Amino acid sequence: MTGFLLRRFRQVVPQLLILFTISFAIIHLTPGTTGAVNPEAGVTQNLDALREQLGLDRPLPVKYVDWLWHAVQLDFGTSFDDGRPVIDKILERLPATLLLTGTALALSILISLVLAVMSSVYRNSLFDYAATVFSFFGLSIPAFWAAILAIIVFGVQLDLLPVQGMNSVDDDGAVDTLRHLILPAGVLALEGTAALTRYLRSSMIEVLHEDYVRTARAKGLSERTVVFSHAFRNALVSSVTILGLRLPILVGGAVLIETVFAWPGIGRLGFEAVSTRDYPVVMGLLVFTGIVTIIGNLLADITYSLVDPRVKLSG
Amino acid sequence: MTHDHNPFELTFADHEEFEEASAGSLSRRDLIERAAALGLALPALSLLPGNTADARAAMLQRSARRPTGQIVFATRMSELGDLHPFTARLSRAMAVSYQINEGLVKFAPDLSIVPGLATAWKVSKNELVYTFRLRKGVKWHDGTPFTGNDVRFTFGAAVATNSQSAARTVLTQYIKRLRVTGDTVVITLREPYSALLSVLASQLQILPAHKLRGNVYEAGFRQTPVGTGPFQVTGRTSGALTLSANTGYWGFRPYAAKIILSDAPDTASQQAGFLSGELDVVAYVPTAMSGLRAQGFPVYAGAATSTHGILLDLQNPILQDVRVRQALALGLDRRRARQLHYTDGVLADSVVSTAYGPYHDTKVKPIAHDPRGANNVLDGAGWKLDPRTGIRSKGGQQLELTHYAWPAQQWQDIAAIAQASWKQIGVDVKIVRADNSQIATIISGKYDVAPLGLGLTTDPISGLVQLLHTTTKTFREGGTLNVFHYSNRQVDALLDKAIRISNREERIKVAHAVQQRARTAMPFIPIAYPALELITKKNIVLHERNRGLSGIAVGYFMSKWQVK
Repeated sequence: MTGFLLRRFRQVVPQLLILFTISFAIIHLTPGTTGAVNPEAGVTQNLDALREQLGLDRPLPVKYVDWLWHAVQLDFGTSFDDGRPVIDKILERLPATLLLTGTALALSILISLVLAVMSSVYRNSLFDYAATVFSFFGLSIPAFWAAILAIIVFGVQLDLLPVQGMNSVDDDGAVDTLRHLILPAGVLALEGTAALTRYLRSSMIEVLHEDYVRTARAKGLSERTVVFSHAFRNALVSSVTILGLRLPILVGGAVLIETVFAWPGIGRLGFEAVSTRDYPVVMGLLVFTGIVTIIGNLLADITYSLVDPRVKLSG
Repeated sequence: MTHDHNPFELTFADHEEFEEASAGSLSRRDLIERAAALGLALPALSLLPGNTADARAAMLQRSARRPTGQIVFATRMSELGDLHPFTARLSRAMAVSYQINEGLVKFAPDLSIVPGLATAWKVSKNELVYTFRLRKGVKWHDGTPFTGNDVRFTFGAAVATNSQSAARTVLTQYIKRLRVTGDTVVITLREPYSALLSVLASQLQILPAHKLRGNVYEAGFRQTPVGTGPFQVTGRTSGALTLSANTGYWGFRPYAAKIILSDAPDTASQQAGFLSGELDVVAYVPTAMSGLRAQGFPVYAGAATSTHGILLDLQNPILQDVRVRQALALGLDRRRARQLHYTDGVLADSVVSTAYGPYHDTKVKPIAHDPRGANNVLDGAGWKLDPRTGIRSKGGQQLELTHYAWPAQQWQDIAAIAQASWKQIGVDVKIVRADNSQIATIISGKYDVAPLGLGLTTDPISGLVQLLHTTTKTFREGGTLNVFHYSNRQVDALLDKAIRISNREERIKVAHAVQQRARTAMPFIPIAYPALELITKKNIVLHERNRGLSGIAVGYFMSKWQVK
């Protein structure tokens, strides 16, 4: 295990360097300038002076080396927007995003496990068909449309749940946050649940036809033991990959959902930063999300060994 | 951060004798305050010219009314990132900042200059010396007394080489000396500059020296500034900004105890928040929210200060011929554009919006939609129609133009309308889509035709100078709005004169004359003055009739919103 971790960390360094370089290149090769004009307002400003003020007039290699040196220390500079350190802005938004995406992910896992196991065990039953319809519904409808629908039904028509932000203006308690969380997390979980259910159901059906499952049944084990101890654990391996792929969303935020529900998370921060060409924030977010993704992949590899003893990390 | 370079002389003599400022420009509010102190307020009111209702309200509210209730406005928190008066760049942030930090003078809703942290001022006959009397008894939101030291500090910070103040250029160019003595501030100019008060009102809100002496651009202050204005920041999260009424405010006390600017990033989420009762006031979009209006929710509308239309680049030899420009204006179906995107707006004929009151020239000849007339003008200019292609040409050159269009639907539609309209008069238009971030580069170069909202400064004469005075600077280099490359000696002379005189009537005359010339020369085809509208819950009322500045309504009228 130690050898595996050391080897993976050695791989992480060039991965990070490539990530840093690509992030920098993407931003600086994009056409356009900082200090974009709002065509509606026609605000006048001396853009060249602004670029000089922000240090954007320096040669690209100088900017790159300077940025890289600071970025490896997690110093992504200060936001053009308000002069605050980028890392502060990211860390300030991170809890909101983790709460939203973490809840959505937990909901997805919980619901999809139940749906997938039940669907595979009672294959071609009414329940299976219903779960399949639900899955395709979840996969097919755009998240923003589902969000608006949820707002109209639960926020406006039934007046059951709040639809804006993370807290009411006069209440910042946990219960209030939880009420605000239900709709965005529910909508966000819909797509994840649908995808995970399909993957897990397929894996389960495949595994349930394996010889060792037949053997387990032949041994006289109860169906519950067969399903959960033999089939389910093996079916989980492929789902770990899917879960690993969702990690960037976990920290990168869900841009659409955060925008529609005015959820103050990282997804919105990134969207706003891209809109205003706030380079330091955009680059900071790219690198930050990239780092977490790399770490996530590492964790996924380790998780493989836990759910499947045949995977040897030292091998 | 220190001020390492002051281009004009700053003096500060707390204990020196100072010359008595004239009471010649004593404001109506000052008179009320002094009369009130003598128990003569109500009789005094009857002696005052103008709308005494406002003055009466201003006086009575001091003793009787306490701010009550809270109003939640939909906003985009991303636009309120920086509220520092020097570095806030977006109009919404500037408008909010305007309620927190005040200048020596301020704007009334009709754009006239009224007292701010200075109770009175006088201008010398040669218009080179401005003397301000500072308001006494004013406290910063943290309880520290406001003094002349704050004024001196602010001017010093604004002209420092590392200054990020928009006022720096004007201050360094025109101000020769600033002298702060007790409660008197004397500004001496190098040459007359009539827009000085406007600049002081819009770009030089006074900063608290005791908070920013170490670093003018301190990050915490940019988030939650401390000012002397009618509202103070009492809460800030990534989702909302809470402004509470400054109960000790020297001027018009806000009706609402709290104004909460809550993040609602797009029209759909604003509408949903409004319907679910979480938002009290949202921007009204006629095309998407007519159902709400039909339900009886009040809509408050006003004209924006910007004029939307089409820029014509006179660097293009084709467009240097005024007849071609006139023909393009006559051929453009502007009413179609208005129907699509400016439902409650006004069809524009001048570069100066109706929001500027008397500065807007109502006598400018309306631009008719007259394709036949446009064809005649082009025939007269020698552009012959090729019946085979439907495109005009002259000397082997086809009448072709490139029309840039920005991503928003309105600009795409305006480009499409222009393309279709001008095809009717034999002009071939190629539409090129470009991102907002490319606008500055495009209009700083050669571009033929591009749509834009032209926002003049709060001083219309300064705005017209930026818009139409001859310049060799590009938009990117100097911020000038003369992106048409228009040059006319008579217009230059008129504007040069107007920028030196402070007589309002004279300035209005010049503004009208310039608008008439712009109408004839047509470097810009005006389309509409957009209406900026807010829809509110039925129990929310705006006590402000003059809504000329509605483009920044949330900020400028914040004190006037009331919960019934």
